[in-house]
Amino acid sequence: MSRTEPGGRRHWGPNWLNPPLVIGLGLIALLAIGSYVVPALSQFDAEIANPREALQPPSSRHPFGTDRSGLDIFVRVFQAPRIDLTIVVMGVGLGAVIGVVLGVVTGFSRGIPGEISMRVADIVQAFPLLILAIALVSLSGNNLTNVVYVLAFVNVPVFLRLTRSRVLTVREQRFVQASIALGNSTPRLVFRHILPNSLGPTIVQFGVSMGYGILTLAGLAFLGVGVQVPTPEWGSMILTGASNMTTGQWWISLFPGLALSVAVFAFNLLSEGIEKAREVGSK
Amino acid sequence: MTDPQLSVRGLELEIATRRTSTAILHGVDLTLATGHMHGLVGETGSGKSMTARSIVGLLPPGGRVTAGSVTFGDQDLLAKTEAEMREVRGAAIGMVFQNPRTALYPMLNIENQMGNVIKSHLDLDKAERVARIREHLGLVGIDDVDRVAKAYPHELSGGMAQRAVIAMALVCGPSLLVADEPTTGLDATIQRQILELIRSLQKRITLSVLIITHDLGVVAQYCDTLSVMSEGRVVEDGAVRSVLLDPTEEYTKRLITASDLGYIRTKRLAAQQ
Amino acid sequence: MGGLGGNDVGGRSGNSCVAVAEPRRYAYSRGTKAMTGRAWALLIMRRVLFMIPILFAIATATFFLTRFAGGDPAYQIAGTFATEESIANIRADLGTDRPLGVQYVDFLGDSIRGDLGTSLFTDRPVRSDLADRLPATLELITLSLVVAVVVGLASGSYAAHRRGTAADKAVRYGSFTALSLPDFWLGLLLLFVFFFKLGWAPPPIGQIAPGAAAPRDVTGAAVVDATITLNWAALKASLHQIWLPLTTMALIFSGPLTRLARSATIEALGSDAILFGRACGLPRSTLWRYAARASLPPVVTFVGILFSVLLGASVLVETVFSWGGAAQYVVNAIRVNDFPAVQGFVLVAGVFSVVIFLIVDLLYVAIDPRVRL
Repeated sequence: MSRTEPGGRRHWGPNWLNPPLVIGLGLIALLAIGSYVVPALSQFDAEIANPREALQPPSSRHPFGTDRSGLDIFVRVFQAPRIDLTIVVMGVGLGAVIGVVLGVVTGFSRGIPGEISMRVADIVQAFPLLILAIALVSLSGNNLTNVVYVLAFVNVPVFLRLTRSRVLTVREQRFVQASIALGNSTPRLVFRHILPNSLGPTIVQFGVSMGYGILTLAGLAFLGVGVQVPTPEWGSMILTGASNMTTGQWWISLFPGLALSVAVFAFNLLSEGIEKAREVGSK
Repeated sequence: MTDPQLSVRGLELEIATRRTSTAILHGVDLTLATGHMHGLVGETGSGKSMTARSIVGLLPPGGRVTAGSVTFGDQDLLAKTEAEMREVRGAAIGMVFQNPRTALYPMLNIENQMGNVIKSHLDLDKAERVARIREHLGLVGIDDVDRVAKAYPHELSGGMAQRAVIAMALVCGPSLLVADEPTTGLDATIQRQILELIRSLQKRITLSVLIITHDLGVVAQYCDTLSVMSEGRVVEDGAVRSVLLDPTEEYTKRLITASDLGYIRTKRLAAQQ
Repeated sequence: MGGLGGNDVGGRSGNSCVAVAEPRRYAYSRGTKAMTGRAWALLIMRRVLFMIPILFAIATATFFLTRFAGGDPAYQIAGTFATEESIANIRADLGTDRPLGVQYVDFLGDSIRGDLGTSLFTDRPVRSDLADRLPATLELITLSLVVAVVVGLASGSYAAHRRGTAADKAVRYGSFTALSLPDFWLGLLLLFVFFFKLGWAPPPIGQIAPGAAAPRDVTGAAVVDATITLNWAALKASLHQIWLPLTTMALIFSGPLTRLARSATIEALGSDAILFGRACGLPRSTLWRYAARASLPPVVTFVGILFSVLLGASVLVETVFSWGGAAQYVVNAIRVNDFPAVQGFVLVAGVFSVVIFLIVDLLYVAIDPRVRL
């Protein structure tokens, strides 16, 4: 069901500083900065166990309580973004870069390579990727580097498809045809015309994939994959407190999960904000 | 002169968004006599579509009529509730729009869609409905009625689709047809066909037509009367011959000169010299 | 749910869902005929035939991926005091000492016959292991998705029809929050509130509580079995066990589904067809139906992708509730290097996904006459 209005080419409109963008960015900045500031200011270390203060509910001394090893949850929750954010940025970023490059390449080539890449992406999607991720990581080394690679791997198809479809659309537009007719070389075409046009949706997707990536990382950690104790990471913290949920010590899993949700929320909000900023005119 | 079928007086319309409120129409007057075709011309943004939509009450979100009256026959349309207007639309006043292929609902075939329209206004049994649909499809000049009735919108060509749209707008027997740029999206030959169709329909089923267009040529050929609009106001109106051959307003003159008619007028003036 | 495959729907954000959830490119036909019975038959036949090379590709990919991702299980099985000889013996037993090509052909032959090997951990055929556990996973996923779809469609279209009002805002914020939550965390929270504090939910021990009425084992899925054998006591018991994990998953997935339904409905409501329908005086109920049907396609596509992602990603919720499903099984298998089990699961999941995608495509054609596959 369509409208007959002409579709405008989007450009960075007057909605730059809309609420979702600002709040999202703000929250992320808060988390990132806090991951260094809070541990520096706290008397507790995020990784040194303190069994005498184990399983304490939230108090003024331990605002978020302590876990089974006596670790202060407040400090750990705030230090976790060092892992959660960095790993995910690296993984999704790597996947995005590779995906965009492949997208441009397959988008430009006519015929077979493009179709094949789409079929391959289709097949990749048919697999239970979480399972494969777990398999890849646990069996080739249960460390964070492999998690980065896995995150990259699963993000490649997304960005590939996105970029390729943009390239295909832009390629058919008149000004590109004209540019080619004028004798512009392909690389110049790519950099000056294709990429800037595809940038918008890619950035939006990046934000969304970031949110998703954080959930994935936490999920993997919850299954004991990738993150080692006692490194503070939200997913593994939730794991530590999981069995305690049924015995009443709710704070151990609650706060890391809350922080996790806030982070994902922030990235999704940011994506919304970027998308809104790209809209022409008020909606 | 007999009572006009449609009479618009002092119509003022504003559109309110979250932040501001913009006045779109500043007191529009319009008269359409029964059985006539009235052209509403102007450039994009002159408010002609909004006027048409205000008449049938299909305002965009935030749209509000702030003053004026719209009288259809002996009924005050602005005083009606939405439920009452729903009865008017389709049964007393039909409306068609620019792009026929998007106007038709893509997921039902023509027969079913038209059947839905009939069901909302007339109390007919299935056989009567089918007969009426076929009759109206034939009325709009469709030869292979069976095929078109069973077809989905995407299977029809542009011209065929617009005929189906007109059939759907008229199937419940309205006496006024509002056509908002009905031929703008079509090929030139099809445009002509559709306009001829509308003209013939006028004669066969006593139809008054309000046609909105930016094409003065169409107005010159098919309309009895016209109104020229600019920036939410009616600049000039009257019988087509007098306005186009002897315009009084500057804007009208410019419009004529800019269109294909300009040439004709210059020639006539030269001939009169 | 840290589901990874779902990335293709751009995480769970509704906007990107609409944009990126059309990776399955449907061609809109111009002027072609609509679907007749005969056309349906041809389409299904064509697609099923086309599935064969895809399944083949999936089997191949499975084979090589598990070989690549897995270590050599021989070391694991041999244990700490392994000798060269014992390892060689184990390899001969497993057949992993043969050239890769031979293993591959054997694997294909076995898979076609349905023989997925023997689990190194449970010592049972992988096929039986999966048959025991897959129904539980499928039941949980399917029921959760059904609830999520109903909630999503209802609230999404509700919000779309009241766009800009407070109700719309509430729905938007709510769904946005829902899709940001980690499913395993939500499950734990709900467990705490409803089991520990309120006692409305049972302890998380799987489909059937010990001592409770158990249905006869027909499919292996407790709720389904209880329903088809008309065993009301068992139905009550199994619903009691499933309601919390189901609610967890349904809550989370209603997030993106609501956003999807809302944006699709808004787009439909603003379309020319609805405007023309109004101009013809169609009643609100008819227009509502028109908009609803038009908003279905992206939802259907998304559900299909979600389903195939959840085959693996449900492991998180399954772990929290000790559901005993296939996802838990395979994660455990990974931990103990049980690679026949991993291979078998991946193959089955891949096949399932392909079938789901086919169903989604067919549904799409049924909903939207314009689509040509």
